[in-house]
Amino acid sequence: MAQESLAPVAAITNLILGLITIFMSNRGENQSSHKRFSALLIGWTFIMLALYQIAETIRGQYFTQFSHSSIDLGLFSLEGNVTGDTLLLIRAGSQISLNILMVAMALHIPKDLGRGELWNASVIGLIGTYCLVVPPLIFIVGVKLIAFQLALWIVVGIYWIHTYIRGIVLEYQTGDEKYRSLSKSSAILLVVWFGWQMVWWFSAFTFLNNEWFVSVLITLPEDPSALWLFAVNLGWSTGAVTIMVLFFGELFRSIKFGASPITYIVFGIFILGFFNWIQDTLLLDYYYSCLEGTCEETSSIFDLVNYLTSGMLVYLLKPLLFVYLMVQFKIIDTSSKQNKHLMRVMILLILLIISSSIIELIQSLVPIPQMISGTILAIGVIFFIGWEEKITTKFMGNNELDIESIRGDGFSENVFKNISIMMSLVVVYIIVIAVVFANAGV
Amino acid sequence: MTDDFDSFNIDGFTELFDNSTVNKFTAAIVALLVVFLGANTLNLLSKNDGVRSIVDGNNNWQVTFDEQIITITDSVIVADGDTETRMFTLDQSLLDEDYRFGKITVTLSYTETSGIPGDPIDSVFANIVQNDLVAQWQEESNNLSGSSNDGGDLVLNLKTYPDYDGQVRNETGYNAIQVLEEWTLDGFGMGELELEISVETSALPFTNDNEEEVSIMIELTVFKANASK
Repeated sequence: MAQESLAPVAAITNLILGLITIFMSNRGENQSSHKRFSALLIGWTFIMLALYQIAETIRGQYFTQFSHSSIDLGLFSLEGNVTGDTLLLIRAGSQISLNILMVAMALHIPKDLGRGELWNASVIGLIGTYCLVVPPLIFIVGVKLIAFQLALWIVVGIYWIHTYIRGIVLEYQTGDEKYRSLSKSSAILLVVWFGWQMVWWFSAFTFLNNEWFVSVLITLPEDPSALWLFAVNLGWSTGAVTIMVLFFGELFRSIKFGASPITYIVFGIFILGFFNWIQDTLLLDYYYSCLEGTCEETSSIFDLVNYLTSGMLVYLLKPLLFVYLMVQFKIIDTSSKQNKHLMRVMILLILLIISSSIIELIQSLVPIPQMISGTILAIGVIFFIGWEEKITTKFMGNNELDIESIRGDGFSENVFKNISIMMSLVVVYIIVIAVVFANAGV
Repeated sequence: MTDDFDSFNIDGFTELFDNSTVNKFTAAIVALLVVFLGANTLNLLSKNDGVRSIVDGNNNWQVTFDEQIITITDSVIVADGDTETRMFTLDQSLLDEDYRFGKITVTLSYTETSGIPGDPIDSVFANIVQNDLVAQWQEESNNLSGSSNDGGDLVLNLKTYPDYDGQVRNETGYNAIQVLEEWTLDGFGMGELELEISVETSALPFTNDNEEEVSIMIELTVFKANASK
């Protein structure tokens, strides 16, 4: 399936983006400490995404694959193969870490909610404790518990919705464009974290997601608890309500002040909701057939639709928007010559992932030989290298209002070192406990 | 903003809620989210109950069929040794809403029409020609051809809808829609019903009996499926 072949590209891209971001954050002495800390959070988010996708790629190559939803909702179980189970638990562990990184990010972007040494220590402590305690707890008590983490999505989702509306309303009330930065950064973060859930908004509002979930429920040997079913709905509900807010917010803003690139992304996701609803409707027979014991075969066109919607958002849009956020809001310092070179590497990587996605799309629609698609990709890369400077300049822009919007301070140099050491240990810890629990067969 | 290394300052939170318009919008969205989440969860819980009752094996449904008979009549005069072909179009316009073609029964009847006293009964041969009409052509219970040489009715039949026999059925399913899914397929019975009729007359010596009139009655059994617990 096309989606499987995009995961390794995304994994490598995220890994390199993560390393560059962390490196640039440590070299950004001229930056405010808050921006450096935000860059570190994004950098480690890239690393965790890479860890997740590397495990996903290797597992998909040799073992039964589990979808992103299966990990988020705890719909997986160990299969008795140590390597395969280890990879599965690494995915689960990195997903848990990503959730707490998202919370930490919400506390700092677009606005630093707290200040002071104790506050900073609390945030770092929260990340460390969560990554230390939650994965083994979930592995021991039951992987279904992982779904309750979606409560964090609701909290963070509401918070970013609030900052988004705040940006839109204040811009309208004062006419000051600086508030657009607030709404824009909030919208980017919402799309980055919940975008792949947003594409199912219409199915969520018409309860068609629940029809799909019937085909999942039938596979469960035991009656799931009402609380777990409630938790299952948290993700869809967050996605559906968020895209509605973003859609009407961007619609209102584009009428009053004109559209921006994020407006088109939001409108695109909104429209995808209708396409996915049609897909769900067409698949109703398939969902019901699962009740008869054996699910019918589905057409590969549905895999393609999933790839083009939530798959693209997970693998493509996430790193793209993170880099956009970092560059536009100067979260990483691009003023020095050395950092500019690294920035160019980041942008080229993003262009590479876009190119490979488009090639995948073409190959999914038209069965062209890989030799030809590889050549097309190479031609694309050559063009990107040729136009690199122009593209980089356009991507970076120089929006002073954006630069000023993400503010805050109060991190000492030690905090940066400590958080990098801590997150490195978290990565090792996730791998170790995955190996331990896979061997124990828990 | 100044660095403050010794405190735990969360002023940022209070600043977030300093605009009443924004707060009202957020409150409304939170309310929408809560209502939507509640409704969605209730819906999923009810679906889960349905699934569990299937898994536990106590979700039985009875499928019954409301039947109607649609009759088409015709007659044809067939010359001795000839074969006449009659075409009948079966399409959606013949059906009431939610009805489907279940089976086709063709009854051919004739009497000796020569009017000659003592003239023996002619022989009539008929068959339903297999064509593009969507039907269960390979069904064993079909009777696609037959003959009569005693003036008795000649009955042919063709099953159009798969497995349809008009009998009450017990099914297991998640809901009525799913249970009836098997009985709501479109297209069956649609097409041209092609009937070939041949006649061989039996005449007394020195009499002229060289044709026979055959009456055709086509009965289309159509049905609407209902599911009840």
